[in-house]
Amino acid sequence: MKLNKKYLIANGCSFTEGHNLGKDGAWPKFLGEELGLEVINLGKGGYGNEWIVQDTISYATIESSIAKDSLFVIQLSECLRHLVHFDLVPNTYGDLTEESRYYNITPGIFIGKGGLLHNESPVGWHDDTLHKTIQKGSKYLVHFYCNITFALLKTYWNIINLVNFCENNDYPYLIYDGMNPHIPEKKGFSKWILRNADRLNEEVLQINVGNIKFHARPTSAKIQEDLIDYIKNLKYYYRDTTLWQFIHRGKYNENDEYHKGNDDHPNELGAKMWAKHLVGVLKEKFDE
Amino acid sequence: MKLNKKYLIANGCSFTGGHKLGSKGSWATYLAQDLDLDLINLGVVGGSGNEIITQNTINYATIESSIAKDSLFVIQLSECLRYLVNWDGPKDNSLYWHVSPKQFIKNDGFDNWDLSFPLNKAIYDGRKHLAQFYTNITFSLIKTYWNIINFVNFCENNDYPYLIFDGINNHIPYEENEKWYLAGSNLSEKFEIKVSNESNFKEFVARRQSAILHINLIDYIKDLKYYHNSPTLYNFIVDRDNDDYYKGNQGHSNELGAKMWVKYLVGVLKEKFDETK
Repeated sequence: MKLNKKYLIANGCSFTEGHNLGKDGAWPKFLGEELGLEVINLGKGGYGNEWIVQDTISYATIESSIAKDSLFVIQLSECLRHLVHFDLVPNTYGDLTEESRYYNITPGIFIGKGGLLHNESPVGWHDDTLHKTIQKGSKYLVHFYCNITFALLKTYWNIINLVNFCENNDYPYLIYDGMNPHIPEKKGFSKWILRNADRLNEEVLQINVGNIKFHARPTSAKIQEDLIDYIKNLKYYYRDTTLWQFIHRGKYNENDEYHKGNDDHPNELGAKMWAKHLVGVLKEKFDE
Repeated sequence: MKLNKKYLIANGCSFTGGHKLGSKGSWATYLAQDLDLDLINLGVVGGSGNEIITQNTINYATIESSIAKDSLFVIQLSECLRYLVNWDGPKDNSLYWHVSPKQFIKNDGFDNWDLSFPLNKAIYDGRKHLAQFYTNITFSLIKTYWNIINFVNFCENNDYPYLIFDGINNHIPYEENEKWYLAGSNLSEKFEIKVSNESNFKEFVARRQSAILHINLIDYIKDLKYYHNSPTLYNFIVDRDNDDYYKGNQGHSNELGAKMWVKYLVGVLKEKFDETK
């Protein structure tokens, strides 16, 4: 398959950047090889969907001559990551030095197993200024970063924005779910749940879905069923499986050989196999 | 002028929702009258920011595509400082809100702050912690640029005629003594922002860890055909010899101000659409 392009522009989180292995061990490298395209891998570990989408759009807007000659393949991360910009306001904590950086805050930091509100340190928690700041302010911050419906709605906005960007510019693209599936499931008459990355996990996230007509002036996060249907039916949004599900034990492999030794992230074999899988998806979508 | 559409879809903050006066104080009312269009005014009084303004419009038009196809879109951007959050308080109290750096960086940021409102109290009580995440002006401007780009692509992909204009502050920064500034809503207010002119954009993208605006992105936004940034609506009604355009309405357009802005906007639309559509 050849999409008559020169470049593959890929973006995503650590699954795309190449956790522990670097970009030479990540799926974009192998997909680029399969398709005969030069890879521009914009992936960054820990980032969420707002960054992934807007960084791609900004890059392609500025580098339009490259974008015109590119296929875009975008791995969505889990929708729970809220993009913030941390700036230590001098003297707030006296002993800490000034710092400024992007960061993604998730509900799991506060309320998950081992969350800060349980007086524990979440997995991967650091001892730097930013993490100390979140820890000290956790009982205040928790109220601003734990709404799952809002997180999902924002990811829908991101998807719509990327679709419009690519289609307006006539750029071929594929979006896929890297971690959790972003289409919620209806349970009973009114309960909707969004599953975590691990579908075997019993923990599910309840969201607020309205089967009402569009509310022109919403006062809090609510998702219309029509919007879910719209997202579900997008042609170039692939969601038969997520990358996370693909590399973990289940339908696509019977053991842990696709992520063994890499902290639940794809290892080189997993990344290669995912690239092969994506080639099949692209063939089907682009009808070649 | 007739754009051969049935509806005007308008969105913005209180300047569009009609602060204090309702529809009488909203430019959208008079623009729809002037253009002979049915008005769908999505504007909300109460401090909306640019993310909810643009995304809620896109959301509406995506779901209500049959209306959108027959609409002209006119979007008033609010000040870019407003960060959209969804606050979840006790007793299932859940609200959209906007947190502004002004609360944290100004000495009088919390003056007249009604602490009987639970969300206000939550922000006030958590101010030392929230300040670390809501004071970066460069980031807030970058987010507004994202909003503009998203809205432009949405409208152009669907072939919807549109105009975006700055309602409060002008979103194109200016250089002064080798520093870059973003104007606030009034002439005396300005915020320093970080701008890079790194020639290798790929390197710039790879290296940055914090909010820095690339000069090429500023140029891109500045040159968008259907984005009008000066004067802003606020400057139009306030920077005059008298207070006729906002008198009695707390710095927002009154009925006369809204009508005069519409006369001005019609001229902008005529120019942009070249009277051919």
